[in-house]
Amino acid sequence: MRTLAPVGPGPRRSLLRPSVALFLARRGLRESPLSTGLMIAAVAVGIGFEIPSAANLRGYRAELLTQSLSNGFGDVRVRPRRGLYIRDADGWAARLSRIPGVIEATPVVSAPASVTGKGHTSSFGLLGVEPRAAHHPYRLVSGQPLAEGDRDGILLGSSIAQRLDVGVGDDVELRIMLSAYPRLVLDDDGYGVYPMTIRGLVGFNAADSAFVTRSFLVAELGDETAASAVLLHARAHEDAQSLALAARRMAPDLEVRSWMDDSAYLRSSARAVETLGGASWLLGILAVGIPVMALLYINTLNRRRQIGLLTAMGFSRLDLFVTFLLQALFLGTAGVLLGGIVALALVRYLVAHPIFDWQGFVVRPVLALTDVGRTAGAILATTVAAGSYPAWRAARVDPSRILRGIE
Amino acid sequence: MSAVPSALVADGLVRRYGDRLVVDHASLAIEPGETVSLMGASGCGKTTLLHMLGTLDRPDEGHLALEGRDVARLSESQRTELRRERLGFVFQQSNLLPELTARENVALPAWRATGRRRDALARADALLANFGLAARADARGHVLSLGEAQRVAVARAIINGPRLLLADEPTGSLDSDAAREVLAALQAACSTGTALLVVTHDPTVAGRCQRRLTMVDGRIEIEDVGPGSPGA
Repeated sequence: MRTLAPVGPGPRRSLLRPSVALFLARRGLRESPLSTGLMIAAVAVGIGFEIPSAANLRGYRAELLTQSLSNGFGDVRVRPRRGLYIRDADGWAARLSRIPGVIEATPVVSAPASVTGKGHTSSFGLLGVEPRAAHHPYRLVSGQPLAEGDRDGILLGSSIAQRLDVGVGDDVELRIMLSAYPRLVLDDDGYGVYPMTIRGLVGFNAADSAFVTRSFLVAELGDETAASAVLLHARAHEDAQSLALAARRMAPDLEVRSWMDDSAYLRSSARAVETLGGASWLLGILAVGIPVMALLYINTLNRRRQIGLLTAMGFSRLDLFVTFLLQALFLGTAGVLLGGIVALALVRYLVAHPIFDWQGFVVRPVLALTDVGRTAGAILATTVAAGSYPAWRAARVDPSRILRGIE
Repeated sequence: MSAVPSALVADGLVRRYGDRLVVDHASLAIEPGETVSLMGASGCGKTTLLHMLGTLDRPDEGHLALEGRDVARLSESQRTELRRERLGFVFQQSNLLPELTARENVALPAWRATGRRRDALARADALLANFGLAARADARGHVLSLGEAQRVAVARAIINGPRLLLADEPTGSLDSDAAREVLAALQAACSTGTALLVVTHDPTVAGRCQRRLTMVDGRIEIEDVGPGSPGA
């Protein structure tokens, strides 16, 4: 045997060799393909579930606000403080629409009414709307919208239509209670009675209402400038409070309320969705963190002999900690990438096949980059955090006990 | 007084596990290039003593100096550095990292010490060739025979040029041919001035060492100078 000259190490000394730690981390994961696969799957399932779940909740919230505000009673509602209607409502609408952040201000007028068709009668709130407006307090689910100047067309809520067993194109009798307007000369029972044709059906929030043109209704009321309310639509629903403040300054004699103040139900629903989203997010994080931590810990236990050998070879605690931490980082990154692909595919599927679709209220997932980034970042951080304890334990292994087979 | 410090000086080392006294005031010294065997019944404390000498375990009492450096005064990172650069270990079995090839196993300590992977692999190749394992360089631990795995472990133990090689029953699991090859590898490693302390049950292995120590109930009680000793 040839004698070897001793070749000692170079002059560079350090507590950590990242390249060696990286090499060992990669090889360690390759050595246990089943546990590596399970850990990546745990992370991927977490991401693959959490992102579509968050997107669905975001989609539900967006649809709820759209239906209730954009296709409802607006972000800010301006009503008369006294009396039944606002005089010069068109003038007010024009002035209010100039508030920065307001994209439209539309007057509406309301009256109690009933419709009779096929021998059945149903009572509801009737609204007179501006056909030209971009926003209406309903979403058409079938038929045609009202045309400007239409005096015998009506949009009927889908629930009312179902009760009356009528549909688009059917004729109905509309009875409007005008007795609340004492200066009008009415028939003996205080009702105005009009033959109307159903132009279209409207759904969800408006399913128990009916709509005619404002020009028709105000003509019957006897004041063509009147409106029961002016509805302000905001560029962002969240700005409603500040817009309400600006509107209040502009119209101190009118009652101005944001949707948050006007609709406790909607406000609570939106908050509930946010709370559900937060809880789901937290559960997703825990669902990833706990199994990954358990599997990494088991992996560490299974590799104690190797840890003992590395310690005997002169690997520092920092080397060992970083090696096992890098494994967690690998797993987290691979799981996030794989789960991201699964999540995007699932979101695409849910866009095409919504989880909820009823009377025009359709919940489609809304994928927000902030949700994706927040979820991916949190799950990656959770994986690394979950890997920290096993890594710390690996660094604290007593090599003597391990190498003697005591542990 | 010699200008070159002893490879190892242990004085009155004590190690207890709970109430059990495992190593009882063990003292020994090993000079550079000296080969020493440590024999004794199973459970008498040989491995525990070896681990203390290799800084893998701390004595409860006593003093230990490696190349004149008081180990008790070294920080954790200095002890790690000492193991990396001045000590080599060979254990009885499961010596290799299973996820690595023989070549990578041997190169690992050198790569860790210098940060130069290519140099470390070249050095590993040379050592494996020297031990007749060039053809097995890319084999992983589980496909190597026990004898091959032990020779790979010896190559790994000496790649950083340690001053003291600590071997814990390196031939304990081997047949006589494989044991002979491993023993030859260890002796080759010591030919460059590396001291060797080998824990063994095998009188043949002990007989190849310059000095033979015997441990009884945690104490080093018998010291026998062999024919190869400079002092014989």
